[in-house]
Amino acid sequence: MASQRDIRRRIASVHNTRKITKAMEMVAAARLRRAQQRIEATRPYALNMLEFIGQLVNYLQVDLSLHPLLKPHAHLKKVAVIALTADRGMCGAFNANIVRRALDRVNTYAAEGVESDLVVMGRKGVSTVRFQGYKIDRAYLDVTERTAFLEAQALTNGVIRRYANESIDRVHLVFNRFKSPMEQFVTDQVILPIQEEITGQYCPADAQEHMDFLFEPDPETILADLLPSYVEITIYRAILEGMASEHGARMTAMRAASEAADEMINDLTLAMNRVRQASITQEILEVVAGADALSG
Amino acid sequence: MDQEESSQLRLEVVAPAGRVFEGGVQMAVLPAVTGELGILPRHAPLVAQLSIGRLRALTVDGDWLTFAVAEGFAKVQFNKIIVLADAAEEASQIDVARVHKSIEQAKQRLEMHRSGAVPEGEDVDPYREQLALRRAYNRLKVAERPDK
Repeated sequence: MASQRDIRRRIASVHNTRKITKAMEMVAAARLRRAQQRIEATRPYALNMLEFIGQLVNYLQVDLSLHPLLKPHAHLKKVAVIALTADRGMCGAFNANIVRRALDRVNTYAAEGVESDLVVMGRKGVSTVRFQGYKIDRAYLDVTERTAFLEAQALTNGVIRRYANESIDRVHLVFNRFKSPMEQFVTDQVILPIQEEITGQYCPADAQEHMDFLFEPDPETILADLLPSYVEITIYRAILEGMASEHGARMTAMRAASEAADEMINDLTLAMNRVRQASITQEILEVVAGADALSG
Repeated sequence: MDQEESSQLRLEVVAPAGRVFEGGVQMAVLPAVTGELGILPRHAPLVAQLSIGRLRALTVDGDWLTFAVAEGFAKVQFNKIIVLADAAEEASQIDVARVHKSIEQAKQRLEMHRSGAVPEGEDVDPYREQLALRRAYNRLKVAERPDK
C-alpha cells in the first residue's frame, strides 16, 4: 500500500494538473465568445454579397449555369477535398473527427476511381494526414483570426483556377460547423460547382424596379469577380466556425478533465485518510500492547 | 449644395471581419478599377469594381476620412454607398509596426519559396504572400500619407 507521503504527493500533482485544465477551460471560454462575435460580424458582408449577386444576375438575365464556376463537370476524374482543422490539440476528438471525415471522402472517391487532392488547414490535421500516409497537396498553417480571410482567398484562388480549367471537377469542404459550444457537427459540403440556391433569392423586391445601373467596368466582368468572392466568404465563414467549434470543443474537454481531476482528488484524499487512520490504529494497538506487557 | 441635402448621402464600408464605417458623408472618392470615382449626393445608381487603394470620404462635419481598402465592390443606390472590400482600415487605426512585420514575413516566405528552402512540414502559397504584401504596402502608403 502506498504511504501517506506518496499519496499526498499524488494529490498535489493532480491539483496542479487541475489548475492547468481549469485555466485552459477559461481561456477557451473567452476565446469562444470572441470567435462567436467574429462569426456574427461577417453577416453584413455575406448578406450584402448575396444581394449583390442576386441583383446582378437578375439585371443581366444571364443563364448562370454557363458560368465556369456554376457549371458541373460531366465526368469526375479528380476532386479536391479541403479539410479545416486546428493548429492545436487538447480539444477532444475535434481534429480527429474532421480528418476522419475528409479521408472517408477521399477513400470513397478512390473506390470509384476518382483521384483526390488534399488541401489541409491546421497543424494537427496536416500531421495526422501525413502520418496516415496520404499526400497533402497544399497545407495552410498558423492561421489566425486576423489572417483568416487572406487564407480563405488564397485557398479559393487555388481551387477556382483549377476548377475553371477543368483540372479538378468538384471541391469538397470538410469542417466543423458551429452550432453550440457543446455540439460537434462535422460537415462535408460541395463548394464547387457553386450550388445554385445562392442566386436570385436574395434580391430585394424594391431593387428590381430600380435596376438602371451604371457599371464600372461592364457587368459581366463584375459578376465574374463576384462569384469567386462568394466562394471566399463561404470558406472564410467555415474557418471562423471551425475556430469557434475548436474553442467550444476545448472548453468541453477541459471541463471534463477538471471534473475528472476533482474526482481523483476526492478518491486520493479518501485513500490517504484511510492510510492515516490505519497507521494511527496501528500505533494505538502497539501502545496498548506495550502497556499490557508491562502491567502483565 | 445645402448641408441638409448633402447629409443624406450615406456611406457604409463593410469588410468580411465586420462593418468598418457607417455614417453620413458629403462626398466619397472610391478607388475603382477604372480610376477614382467621386460620388456626390443623388448620384445615379452605380456598381463599381474597386481596386486596392485609398477610399476617402468627406464627413458631414467637414473632415476627410481615409481608408486603406483592398479589392472589392461598391454599389450606389438611393443615396447610399455600400462598399464591400476584402479588407478595410481607417488610416489612423493602422498599426504601422504590424504592417512592417507582415511585409517582412511575406517577403521572407516568398524568398523561401523562390529558393526552395521551405522548412520540413511547412508550406508556402506564393499567391497568399503576394496578396498579403500588396495589401501591406497599400496600408503603409495610406497610413503614412493619408491625404496624398
